Amino acid sequence: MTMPMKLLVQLGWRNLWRQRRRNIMLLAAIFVAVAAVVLTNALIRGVQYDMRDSAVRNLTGNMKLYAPGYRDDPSILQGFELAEGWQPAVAPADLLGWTQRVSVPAVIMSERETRGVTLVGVSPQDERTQSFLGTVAIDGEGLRDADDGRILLGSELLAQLSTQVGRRVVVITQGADGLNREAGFKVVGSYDAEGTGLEKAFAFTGRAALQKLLDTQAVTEVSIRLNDGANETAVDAAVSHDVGALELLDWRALEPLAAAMYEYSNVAILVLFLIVMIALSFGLVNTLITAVMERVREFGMLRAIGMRPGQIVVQVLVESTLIMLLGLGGGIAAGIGLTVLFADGIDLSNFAQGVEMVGLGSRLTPRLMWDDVVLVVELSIFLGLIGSGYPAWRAVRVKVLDALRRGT
Amino acid sequence: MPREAATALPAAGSARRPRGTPLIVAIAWRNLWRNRRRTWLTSGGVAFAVFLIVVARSATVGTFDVMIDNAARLLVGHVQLQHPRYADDPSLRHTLQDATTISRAIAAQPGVAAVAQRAQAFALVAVGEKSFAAQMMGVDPDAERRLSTLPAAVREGRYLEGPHDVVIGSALARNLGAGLGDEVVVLGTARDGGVAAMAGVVVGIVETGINDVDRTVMQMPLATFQEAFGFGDEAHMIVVRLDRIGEVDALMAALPEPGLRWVTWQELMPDIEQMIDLKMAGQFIMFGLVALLVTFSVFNTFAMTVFERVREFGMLMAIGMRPHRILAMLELEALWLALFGVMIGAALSVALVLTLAQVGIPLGADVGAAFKTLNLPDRIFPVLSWPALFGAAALMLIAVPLAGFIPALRTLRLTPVTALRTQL
Repeated sequence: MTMPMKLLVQLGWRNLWRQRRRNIMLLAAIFVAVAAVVLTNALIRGVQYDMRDSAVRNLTGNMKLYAPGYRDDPSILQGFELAEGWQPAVAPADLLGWTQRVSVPAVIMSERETRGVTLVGVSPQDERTQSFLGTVAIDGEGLRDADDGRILLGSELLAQLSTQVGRRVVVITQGADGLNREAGFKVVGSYDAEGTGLEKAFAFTGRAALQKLLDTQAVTEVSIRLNDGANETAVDAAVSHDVGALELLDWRALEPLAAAMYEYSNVAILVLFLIVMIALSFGLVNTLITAVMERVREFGMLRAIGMRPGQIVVQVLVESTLIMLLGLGGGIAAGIGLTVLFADGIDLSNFAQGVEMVGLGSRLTPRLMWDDVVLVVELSIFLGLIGSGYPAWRAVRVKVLDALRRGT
Repeated sequence: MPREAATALPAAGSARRPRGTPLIVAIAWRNLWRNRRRTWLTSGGVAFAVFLIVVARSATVGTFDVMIDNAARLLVGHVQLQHPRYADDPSLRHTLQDATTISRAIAAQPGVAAVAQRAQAFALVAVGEKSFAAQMMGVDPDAERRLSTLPAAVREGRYLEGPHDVVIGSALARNLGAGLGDEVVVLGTARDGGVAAMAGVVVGIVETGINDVDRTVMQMPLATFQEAFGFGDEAHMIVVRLDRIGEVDALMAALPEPGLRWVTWQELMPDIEQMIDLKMAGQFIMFGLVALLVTFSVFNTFAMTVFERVREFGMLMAIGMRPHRILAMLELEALWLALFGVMIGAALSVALVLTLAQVGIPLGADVGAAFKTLNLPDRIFPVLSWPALFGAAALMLIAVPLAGFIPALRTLRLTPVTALRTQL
């Protein structure tokens, strides 16, 4: 006798309704577990990409070109000049933008205080796509263009120097001939990088203006940003092919801590999923076993009228798969709904400095990735089948005569 | 299954029950074992929740201890004594007078591991043609060796000994182009507003791995600093490291120091405290989720139990047991179940944590190597978290009977006649 699958599914569905209460409870448990996993996965992804983005946006870029000696001796003496018309060898679809910068150590003095910073000569137009400088909140004005000879300070540094926007500061830094240059800069504005360490570390001015002060045509770095979804490794290989003696470093090499956290997130997602599924499985297995044990007589009867052991297994698996699919579908819909609900982000400003330590902004925005959802579906079905394996095996082991002889 | 129930009930009343234990408690325990597999699975869920909470919290507490200690030992210590305004306005003028006398008084307190006074100022440092701004720190070298890991982070050369020795951060050395034996000139503003100037020789270059420190720090003997900046026996801070971080409050209570201000590690390193809070918030969400799932499973277990035993309950009622007594019996079963699960979870987690506390959880190779250079352990030693253990136990002992209560309520609606007639 062969039973069509349709009939088995129909039978399974009706069987589920025989124990409405507990199956609804099991459904609810699967639903909650899946919804929570989808939401937390999206949150972890949000954290992960936020960490990468802030690492990339704090002047690191997806990748950077340096003269070989610059990282040991970060001065204009380790600058380089790009050939006329040079472009990074990146397909236009992958390239978000690129820029050249002059980045040198400098001393800043106000009337009262002295601080050391990295003075960065930028082209403000390019920075819009390159770094936090394009989007950061500025008190006062921003830099106009690469010839702007005024200086933009972080608000924390401004406070430490006890000076104000519009006042002058003195900058001392080393010129291309190795001798110190001393020049007055008007403070054009202060930027608010949400209290992060960037505010103390970086001061900005126009690139051409800084090159003039240092008597050079050279720059110290080229920063390249890619669009989301660009294959970093492939671009890496293409660009490095074409840069001669210059050193090409990607953000993983420039920000090893952020890169380690990025990798760690991939593991965290799996660990969380496993923990939730283990917690769920106790209830799942328990309910499924009971569903088999209390129907021993019924299975015996079915066997007696000619149902084959394989079909009994299928029968049990169909029931557990149905309930798993229902919970999974609902849970995923609810999880996606929750991520949409939180799409504006969760406010973390109470932990502002703590999240900076792990390289986050002060809002946590979930980021739903289809790969993760697919993974949840696949693993849940897999675990569901494993969970129903034992009950199904018990159902097959039922001896027809014993079963029918049993009292209940 | 009634076949077993028939034997289970009379047996429950038999001899081995300790005197004074109500019969119903013993019956509840026996009932639990009428369906072994189900009890093991349900209590397994309870045990898993307890195990997860205890192990995760213990490992985190161990990590945080290392993290706080790591950060505190680098420079800032567990608690500092400062001029009341210095924390908000670190100006040269906000000093502590008689710093040496106060330091001695603090060092005499129990639980104090090391005490060091420091004076700090930003100034211009020049080596040859290059100059850069740095954070000058006047320190007591012997005290720093006991208090801070910075002396151990000297990558080249040695730590401070003579009056003209200076050590500088590795990034600062790079920026200045300074090497061992180079003369450095410091130019700054003295306490009275005049020029502070001094010359020293680089004897050591430190690399802590903390960017802010490596980029800005320059240490010199305190006496040299005091002379250059026009200080008497004064300092900006007295830094204290304790044997155990929990002793901060005791120290502050023992030495109130009127007119001065104690600043704790939480204020000195708000980023670390917030990161700990953030991580704890994340963990508690996960614990809540796992506890909820286990609760669902308990609910189902009791729904099944009640359903299967309707006839038994009818029998009990027919021979005179009141419905609320049956409910009480089911709740006792839930409590036994929770207790059993909690015991297993507690035993397993405590055994694991105590073992790991001996062996340590090795950190990744990179992190471990970085910690080693700072004289810190390259492993995390979990610290058994008693609050987590008791918290998890309490949570389960409350949640399980609650989850069992709802399906058990059904027994109140039963009448002996309908119950006995129920066909399974």
